[in-house]
Amino acid sequence: MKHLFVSPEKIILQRYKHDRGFRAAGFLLIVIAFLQLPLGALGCLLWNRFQEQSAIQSQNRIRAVDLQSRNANLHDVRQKLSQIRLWEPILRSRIPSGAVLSAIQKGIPPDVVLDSVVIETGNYQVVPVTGGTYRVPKDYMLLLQVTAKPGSAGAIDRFKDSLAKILPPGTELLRTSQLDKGSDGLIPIQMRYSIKPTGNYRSLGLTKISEPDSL
Amino acid sequence: MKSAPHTIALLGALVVLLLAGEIFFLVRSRSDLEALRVANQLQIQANGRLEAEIDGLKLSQPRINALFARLNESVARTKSLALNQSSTNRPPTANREAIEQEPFVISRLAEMGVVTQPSRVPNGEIATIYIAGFSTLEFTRAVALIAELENSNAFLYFDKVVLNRPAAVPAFSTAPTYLDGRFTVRLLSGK
Repeated sequence: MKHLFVSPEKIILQRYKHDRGFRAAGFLLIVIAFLQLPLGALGCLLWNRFQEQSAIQSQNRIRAVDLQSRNANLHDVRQKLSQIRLWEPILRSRIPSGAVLSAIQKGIPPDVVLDSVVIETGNYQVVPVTGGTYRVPKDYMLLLQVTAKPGSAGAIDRFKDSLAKILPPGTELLRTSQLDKGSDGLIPIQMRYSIKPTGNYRSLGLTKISEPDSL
Repeated sequence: MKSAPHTIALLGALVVLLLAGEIFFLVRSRSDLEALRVANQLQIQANGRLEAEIDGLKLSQPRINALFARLNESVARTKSLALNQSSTNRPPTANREAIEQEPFVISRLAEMGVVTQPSRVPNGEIATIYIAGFSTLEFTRAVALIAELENSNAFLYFDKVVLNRPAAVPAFSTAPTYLDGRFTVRLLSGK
């Protein structure tokens, strides 16, 4: 159909006003234009946060550099500490024989006498140290031979009880045996203990090596 | 001029692309921001840990130095002496240099009348081993000596201690009893 009295511009304008497609396109453009507002606001918010986090990041970096320089001054102390840590198993596994003997001396009743004492280490663990290794025992064996006065019933048991209180935790009485009668007519008793080096020797009156000397 | 449906389709496609681009950019920015926030948090924690460690080390520095000096002193700086040279059961005219090289533990034992003899050291072990024996000390003095030596050297191990009442001394004797003592001592030695 030919429109003789209407110009093509007018026809396009009419189409803009009434055609569904053009209306949909217009609506889409308006919606998109409105959507730009929240998206833009969100973008601004993110940008602000990014700026904040960037500032925190640069502060952290400056602080890290400062801490590293402070840390470098403590290099010597760190080395000493790591060397002490390397020695730690050696110190922990050492049950001082002097303390064990002293405990025996303190715990022995007056009607019991010591014939012999044997303290022996065993079951070694090899600990690496600078330049080689060092053995540390995982077991201590304590062998006591004692003689009680005739007629002093229960003296050996009292001695065992006092030893049980003084010897370090983890000590175990493995065996008590009666030996042959001696030339003096007394019957010696042999007791075998197993002591595990747990590092806790407070019952022996010892303190940690790291604790300051009370002297 | 292109037909209207084509123009609309093109416009729609452009709009969708624009929207998708914007959303993609925002999502990406958000995840980057989150990653930055987490990294900052981790860095703050790491800084805090390091600072606490530095403070702790600074606070403990005198104790660490003192403990290290004490333990380091215990490490015997002697080289393994020849087995036949350093027995303390030697004439007083023995090599003075050898005496000076001996660890304190051994010289103290010699002072107390304990005879020592170096023993073989297992391969790879950085140690000095001595076998010692005495028959002139009573129980109390022997215990005091052992305790003194152990206090002087944190790495000193008495691998074997044997203390016997001599057979000639009867049980419950009130006379001073000099024990038959033998022990094996092991010291950590430095290079």
